Amino acid sequence: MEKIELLAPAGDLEKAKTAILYGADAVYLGGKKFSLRSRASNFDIEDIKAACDFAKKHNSSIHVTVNIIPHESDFEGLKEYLKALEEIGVKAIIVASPSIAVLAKEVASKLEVHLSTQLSITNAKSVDYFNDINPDRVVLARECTIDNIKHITKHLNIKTEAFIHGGMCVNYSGRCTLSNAMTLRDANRGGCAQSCRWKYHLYDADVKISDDDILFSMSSKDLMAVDKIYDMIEANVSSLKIEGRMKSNYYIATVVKTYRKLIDEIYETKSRPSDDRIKYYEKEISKAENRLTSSGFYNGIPTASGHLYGINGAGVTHDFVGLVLDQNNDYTFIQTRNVYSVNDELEVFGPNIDNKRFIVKSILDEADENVKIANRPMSIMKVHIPFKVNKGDMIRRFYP
Amino acid sequence: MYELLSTIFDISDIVKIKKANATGIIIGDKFNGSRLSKPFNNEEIANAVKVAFENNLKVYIKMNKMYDDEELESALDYLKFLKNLNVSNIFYNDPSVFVLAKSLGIEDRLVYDPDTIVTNSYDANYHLKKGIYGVILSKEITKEEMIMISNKVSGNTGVIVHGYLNMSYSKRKLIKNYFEYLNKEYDANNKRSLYLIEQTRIGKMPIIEDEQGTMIFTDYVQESFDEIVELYNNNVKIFIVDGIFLDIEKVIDALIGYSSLLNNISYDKNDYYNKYKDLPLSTGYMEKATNLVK
Repeated sequence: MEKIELLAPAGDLEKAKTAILYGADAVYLGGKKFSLRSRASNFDIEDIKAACDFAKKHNSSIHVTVNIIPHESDFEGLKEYLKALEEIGVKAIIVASPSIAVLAKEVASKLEVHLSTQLSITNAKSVDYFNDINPDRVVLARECTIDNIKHITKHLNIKTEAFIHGGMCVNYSGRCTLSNAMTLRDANRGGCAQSCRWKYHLYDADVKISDDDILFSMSSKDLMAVDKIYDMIEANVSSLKIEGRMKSNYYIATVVKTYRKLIDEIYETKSRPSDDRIKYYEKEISKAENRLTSSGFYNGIPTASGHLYGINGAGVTHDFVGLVLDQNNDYTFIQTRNVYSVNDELEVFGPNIDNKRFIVKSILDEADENVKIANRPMSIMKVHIPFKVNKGDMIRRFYP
Repeated sequence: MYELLSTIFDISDIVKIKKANATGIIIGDKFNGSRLSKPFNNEEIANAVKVAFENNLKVYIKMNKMYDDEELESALDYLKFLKNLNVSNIFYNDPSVFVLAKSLGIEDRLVYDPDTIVTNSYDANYHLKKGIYGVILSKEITKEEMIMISNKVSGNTGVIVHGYLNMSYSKRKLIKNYFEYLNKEYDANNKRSLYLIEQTRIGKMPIIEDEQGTMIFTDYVQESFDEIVELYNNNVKIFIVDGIFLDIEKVIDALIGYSSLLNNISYDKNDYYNKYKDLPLSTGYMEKATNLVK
């Protein structure tokens, strides 16, 4: 049986490389046109090619989101764009518009076509509707429970992809125009203002029934499906998708590495991870996750515990403070990303290193002067780390 | 020939909307239909079909729920029931409804109405080529875009010309969850008197929670008195007056206005504006394009 794919997001080339190095089997990203998440720092065609080349070198692949719901005028240049994606080595496109899917099959037949979650596929029969497109994969709606997914995969001959982590639309994807109506920003063409996360007074026949201290909100907790990965593998899902093209490099590294380890552990042990192991992986995620999380629809329709009211943040347990650039016998060269000081205990993690801790004995700045604190962003500091680290490893400070 | 359809609140409304020159009614049940002016049970639907046919009106059924696999058997039973009643047309949202309808040989009665996502002629044609009766165009596109699409596709297109427009469809019970969080009892199920006001704005957005989840509507009532004739002249065939959160009087007056205009009888939309001064009427997206970015 083919091993399940771990599919990670990337908002720029650096994040794509990070995702691949930290264990993503594939990375999805958006071009400057035809893609949702217009605020993500999207890729031009040269960047996509660079990502494809890097992915190929590391036995990974690139998927490109072509997932706008296009208006009549949005098709200009699409055919050429699809051909270019095929030529530079993109493996798949993620598509919400059936006509774009049909076009891709006609003009760029080497591209796999993955039907987007924007199509809100919640049952196996819905996939039959799109048989004429001959899609290579369907991304299931986030409204599916684990039982729904098991049923769908059992009755389909086509590959499926399911979300396992990240932000969730509170409405059926693609079926929300709150942003359009309230800000004139088109949610289905990359302009979503996330109006669902705003706060609202609720009235019944002109009598206010919402609480002034905790206003009505539709904000969903982020999805975290650490405890569902075994079920997804068992259900024969083909790809596990992390949401978050606008997330940081550190977030990508942490989340990807955690799920990579979890997936590998399941394949290695051939068994469901114990509660303790699940807790361990959830704790790892919490080192970068700054929003509260829930299991989304996987256990059933979310109740109040699946929503955010009044607060948004979970409080990360760790801060990303530095990126390893190099190491010699004496020092490790660290690019400063956040404040750390002499006597701080820091933690290193990377594609080949798991949470090794050390105490900062001294810090040398760029003029080789001893300093007590590293606090200039992007400055390169020299710190002694008493074990081997690698270029690209990340250093974080944790809160005891 | 155009079709001017209207939702109803009661079976007695069928005769009233016939007199206002509607050509069809829109009804549905609470399991398979969502955001209805009023849900009817199967017995009432059968009766409504009988009365509508006696009045030479078409019957459109709203089957706009998103289904799980385990619900498809009952969806199929419902389609068989509708086939036996010989209903004219069926709105669908979930593609599985098409697959089930095709198995019964009634796919040519279907009208694809996903609320959003029919925003261009290529996608509209994709659905129409499956042999369905028509597609309802997304309401968040402009009149010019609707015209472009309707002039390019091979099949029937429709537009919601009047009523509060649905903006969101969540499977979650958002109001129930909110009160659960507040640790307060509140039964929001199918209440039609609830609305939201965003904390920095003043518009009142109706919200309903029903068997399908939670839906939020625009803070304005779409009207298309100045647009309907141009749309009709450019091949839009189906025009919908949705009475949800309105009343039968406002629906009938709208129908009289639109049917007059479609039949080249003069109608001053100010009559409607003046009669319903408190109604937040707007031409919505018809004359106002959305942007891609901030």
